[in-house]
Amino acid sequence: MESLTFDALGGECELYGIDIDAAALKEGQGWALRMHDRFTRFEPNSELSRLNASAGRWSSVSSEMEALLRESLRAFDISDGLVNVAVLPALLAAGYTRDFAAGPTATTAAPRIRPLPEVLQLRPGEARLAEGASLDLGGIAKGWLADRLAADLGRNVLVNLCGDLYARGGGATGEGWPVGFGGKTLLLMDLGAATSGTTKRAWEGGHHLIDPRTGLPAKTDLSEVSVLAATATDAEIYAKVALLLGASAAPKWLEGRSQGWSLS
Amino acid sequence: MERATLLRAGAALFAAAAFVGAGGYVVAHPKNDAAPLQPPAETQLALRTSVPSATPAPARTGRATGAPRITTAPGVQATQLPGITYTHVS
Repeated sequence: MESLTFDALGGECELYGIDIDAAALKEGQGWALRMHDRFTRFEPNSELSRLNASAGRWSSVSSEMEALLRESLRAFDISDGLVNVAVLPALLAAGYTRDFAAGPTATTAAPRIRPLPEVLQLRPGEARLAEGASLDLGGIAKGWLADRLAADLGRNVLVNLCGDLYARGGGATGEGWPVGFGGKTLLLMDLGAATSGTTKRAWEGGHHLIDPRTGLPAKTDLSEVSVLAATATDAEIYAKVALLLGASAAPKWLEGRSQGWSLS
Repeated sequence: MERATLLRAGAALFAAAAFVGAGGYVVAHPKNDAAPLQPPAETQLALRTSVPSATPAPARTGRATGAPRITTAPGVQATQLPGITYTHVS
């Protein structure tokens, strides 16, 4: 089995593959790093920062950005609006204005978060954000990138991008990739997994998970939710919804959508 | 018998008893290469350091804070093997 570990997207990324060249994993790493540079909001020249700065007018976007924005609209739709990448103004108001390592800044009044379809328009090769709107793709990009990278790397691979992962194929034994999930090890085959929580990227009086209904850091009786789904993207969406819904409503919402979940 | 002789005999008996006891213990506890790792050792193997972060890295079982309530579909199997990686909050 070949493996490769590297830092990107704000954390540790891991690639594993059976019957795969080390060079292919290295190529995958390069792609992930390029996507990081494209989707980060902390670099003023990233494609996302340029899109946010162009609010109010049509702007050219790469095929990857266009696909991710379409996925963001789908996430909004299937989550009944609970996963909304247009939460950036609220993240900034909560004090998450710069790279987390640099620490939070002073909070300001929470803005109203408008529904994503109201503020984001797409046409082939172009996107338009409404005046005053801005996007943070951190809540959806990692799962989407894990799905894409796993599809490109090969038939028996596992891609874990900062905790959002997709296991493709049966791993070394053919029974599934052994993956830690909520304190157990599960054998995952053609499944995605993701975890959402308020325990990391948290600071005194706040954390990074914004509830679009209030524009404030989410108040929930769950601290961490891990979810299995058909893709890492869906797992990430479902985990976030479950966390926002809380312990009593989450299982009912997840039933029929998710292949497994862990609530704590 | 002199007192010194008695002491020598006692020491010799004690040494012989310790030798026989230790030998018996070793014979009764042969090494089993196929024995499963005990949970503490398994956990140690599963632990892996990561890049420095504000919170300590959890074991690679993806263990959440508190006692997680896990539900899985019938097709998803659990294993006693340590995970090669885990899902976690980023």
